[in-house]
Amino acid sequence: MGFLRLRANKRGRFVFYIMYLPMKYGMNFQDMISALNAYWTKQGCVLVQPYDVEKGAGTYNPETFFGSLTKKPVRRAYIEPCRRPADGRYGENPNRLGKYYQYQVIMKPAPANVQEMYLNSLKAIGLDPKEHDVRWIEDDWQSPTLGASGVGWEIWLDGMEITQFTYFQNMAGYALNPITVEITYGLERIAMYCQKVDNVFDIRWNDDITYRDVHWEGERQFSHYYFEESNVDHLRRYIDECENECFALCKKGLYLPAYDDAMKVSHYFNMLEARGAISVSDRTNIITKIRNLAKACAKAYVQSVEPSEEKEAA
Amino acid sequence: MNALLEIGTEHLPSRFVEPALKQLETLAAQILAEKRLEYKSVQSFGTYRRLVLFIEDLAEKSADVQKEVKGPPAKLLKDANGHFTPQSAGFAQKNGIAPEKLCVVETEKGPFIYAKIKIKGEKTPKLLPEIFTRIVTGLEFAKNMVWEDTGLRYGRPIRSLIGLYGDKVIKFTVAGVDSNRYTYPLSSFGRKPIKVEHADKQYYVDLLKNQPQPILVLPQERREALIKTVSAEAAVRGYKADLDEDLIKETVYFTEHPVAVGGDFDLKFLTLPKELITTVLKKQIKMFPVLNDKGEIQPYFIAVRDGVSVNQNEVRDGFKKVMSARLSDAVFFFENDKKEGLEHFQQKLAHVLFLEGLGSMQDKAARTEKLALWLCDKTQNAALRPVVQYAALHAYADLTSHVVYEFPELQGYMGGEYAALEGKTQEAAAMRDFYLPLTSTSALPSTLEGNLVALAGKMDTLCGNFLIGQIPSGSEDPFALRRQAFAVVRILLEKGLNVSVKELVEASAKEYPQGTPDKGLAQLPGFLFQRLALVLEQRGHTPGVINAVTNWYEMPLPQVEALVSALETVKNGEDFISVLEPAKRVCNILKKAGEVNENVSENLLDLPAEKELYNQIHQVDSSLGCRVNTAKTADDYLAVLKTYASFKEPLERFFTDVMVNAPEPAVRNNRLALLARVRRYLTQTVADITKL
Repeated sequence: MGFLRLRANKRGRFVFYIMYLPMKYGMNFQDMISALNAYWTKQGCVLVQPYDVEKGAGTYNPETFFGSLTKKPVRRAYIEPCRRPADGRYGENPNRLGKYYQYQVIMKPAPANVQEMYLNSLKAIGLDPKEHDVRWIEDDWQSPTLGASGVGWEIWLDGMEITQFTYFQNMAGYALNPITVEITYGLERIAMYCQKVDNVFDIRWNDDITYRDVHWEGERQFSHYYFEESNVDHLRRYIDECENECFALCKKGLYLPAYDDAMKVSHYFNMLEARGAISVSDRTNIITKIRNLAKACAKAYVQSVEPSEEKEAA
Repeated sequence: MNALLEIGTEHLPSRFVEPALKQLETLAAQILAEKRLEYKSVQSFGTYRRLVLFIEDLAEKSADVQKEVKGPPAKLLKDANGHFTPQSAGFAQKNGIAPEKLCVVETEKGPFIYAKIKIKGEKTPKLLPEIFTRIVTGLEFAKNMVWEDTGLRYGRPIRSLIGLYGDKVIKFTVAGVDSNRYTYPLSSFGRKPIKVEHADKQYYVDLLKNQPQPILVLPQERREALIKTVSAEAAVRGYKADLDEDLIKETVYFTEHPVAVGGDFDLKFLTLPKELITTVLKKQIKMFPVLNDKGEIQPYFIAVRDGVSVNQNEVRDGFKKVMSARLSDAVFFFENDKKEGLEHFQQKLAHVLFLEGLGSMQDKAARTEKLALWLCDKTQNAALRPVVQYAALHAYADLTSHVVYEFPELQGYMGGEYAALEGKTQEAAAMRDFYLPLTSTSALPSTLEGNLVALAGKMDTLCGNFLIGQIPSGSEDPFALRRQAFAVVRILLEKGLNVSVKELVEASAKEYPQGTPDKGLAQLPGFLFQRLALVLEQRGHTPGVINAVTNWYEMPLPQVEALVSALETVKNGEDFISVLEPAKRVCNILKKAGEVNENVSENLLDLPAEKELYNQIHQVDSSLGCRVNTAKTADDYLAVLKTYASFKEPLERFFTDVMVNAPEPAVRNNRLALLARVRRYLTQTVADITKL
């Protein structure tokens, strides 16, 4: 983008010249989050804040996990920082992050116009579906660690995957009724697209500072930690301790702290994977372990909230 | 009047749509017949967001019908006093008529009480709610989901329903959705209802087409529009689009109004193998590749948008970015693979399991190599040994490459590419074709060595699966063994390989280590026989004739086919048909007689007819014995089969003049033995003519 300006040259004459400024496309990152917050607030969602235990995806947030399990209606929206230790690249890869943000919306029961709601949310962040190619590609989601599965789509905007849209069918082995719909936005991808930048660290966070300013050092340090410094023996021990505590807490009906333990085990497992410390059979074992923890928490929750609804998990 | 049903859904996966449309028609026909409603035609069409059923000239009421219900035997109609018995009275009540209306009908099993009931037809608008509900809920999808309280299981959520008969709305409710007369615009254009006034196909199609954002609801029209828009985008650049049939089909069912947007990609990606580029384009991002006249890939892509045609430049940039990212990944994998090389991948196969308890893929490669070499020798192609050996040993190697890990459909092809990079041109061709034919009718490998290696690999897979008892049943065939068996039969037959199925199965089984438990290898011949019957049918032979071939398992398949042809030639000839009856009679007599030996004592034959039959057998036996053994062509078999007819007269005379069940056991047994010889000749020499 450029515009004409007037200025004095060496000889004191005024001349016109074209001043170029870097074009700023799209919303900045924090405006985008604010816009989504505002939009989903209008749709009746409670804006809960991120949950303070490490997790690999927004689905792990207790709001979603427990929220999907009972008959009570739920509408929640929240931004969720997610950690995927194995995806870290020391801040050197333009498309990979060990920690990134998901914007998560869950609604139960799923409103009949939920697709339309979603398309309008894109408008709210400056992406008019009438001007782009929005494609709904069949993608059934499952999480072996949560014992969860769902049916839905990944949504492509001009060929790029920007959202996961899922009708949950099972959670922690329970067949769900009513059905929760989950919408998960990949915020960095959307921002890169809107702002027309090729490197995630070039995303404008606000109009003055970039994603790099906020997160680059963290990416570098945590990659170093996850790949080189984390202590495998400690991690294995944490897993055992958390597992024991989780079951013990479930027995006492304290499903919330118990679920924290389950989330932690899942995160430690991801850390072990990043260290390359997990064999194939090991992997299956730990996944089963986490699934059993999730099931125990779900059972404790359902028992305490809706004892009449309690049915044996599949 | 016409009827129209529209099921408005959220975006159905492309692959669900065609089967659903087919089911709409069959379900409708079935339910309308059950309801005795006449109509001119049922037609289905639609998109991934609206499944439409159109019933042309649907009768205004269902037909009256007279039904006859069979009841108890006639003697139960009235008792001795002339009163209706409890049985007959109950039967009348059950059918809703007065006992006086019952009547008696003579049947094969004697007289029975019948109730003749008249069922009056009903008005169509009264029947349609149930019919529409049953059609909507009757659709089955490859995978189902639940989204609302009634718990209906469906491909994707239903969001609107249209039920019209003439211009009247037919009210019904499925999954909490009430029917009305409104349909909705393209996915990205909001939910402003479009009113459908009446149930007319052309009107409905035009109504949607004339929206500000047109919707092409007829698949055929959409297909034509797609081909046109994609071809035009390619033509702008002076090239042709690669109109891959699978991708066209997929695209037709994930758009409601296809609009192409074309762009270019960096020339540097053209160093990738062609199939790798096209796979990335077609499979990963569903774009059409662009080719020049020679079929060479050009640095362009054509993406398809749904309905929207504004802002093309920005959308193009978006697609371009995504596609560069994907192709960069492909370059990364390909370069890594080139560094590691085929030999290295072959070694890595040692860590990949084949089947439970049957060792690694490296073991499989070794077995395939040996079997392929055996095939070379057996088919007098020893000159091919070096090529076949290398190709067979490395055929599975690309399974451990990065590219095939990312793009499993490129198995075989990539192995060929890597072999070609090592200068093994002939081997490369065979390796590229290793997984062919991909369907029961598609092309076989292009070279003979390719066929031998492919045959060996498939045979080993079949053998392994049958050994561990993993045998397809019903619709369960996770390892596509039927397709592999099809391929085995086709290669043997079409390449004219001089190997019997028996030899092949045995040679293959022998390569498995001694002591491998056998849980079902005995079922493999039967399994292959079923495919053989189908392949012969595909090749234009009469179904069932193959069943008459007694020794198919031990004959090379080209000979089996020659014999089948010969049987087809003779089987409708008059003299041949005339021998069938007596032949069947021989078999029946012997079946009743139980076990019979074939030792005929000449001195016990006294009647002329007996002697004549005996001489007949002797004559054909001695004159044809050697001919049967060397028969290979259809003409050879024809000569043998022609002798069959000569049995007609001796047999007929035998049955007229000779009593098989003679009082003296010795004579009786001798006659039975004579017939047993005849039976063997007519049912075992080359074919069992009684099975024709």
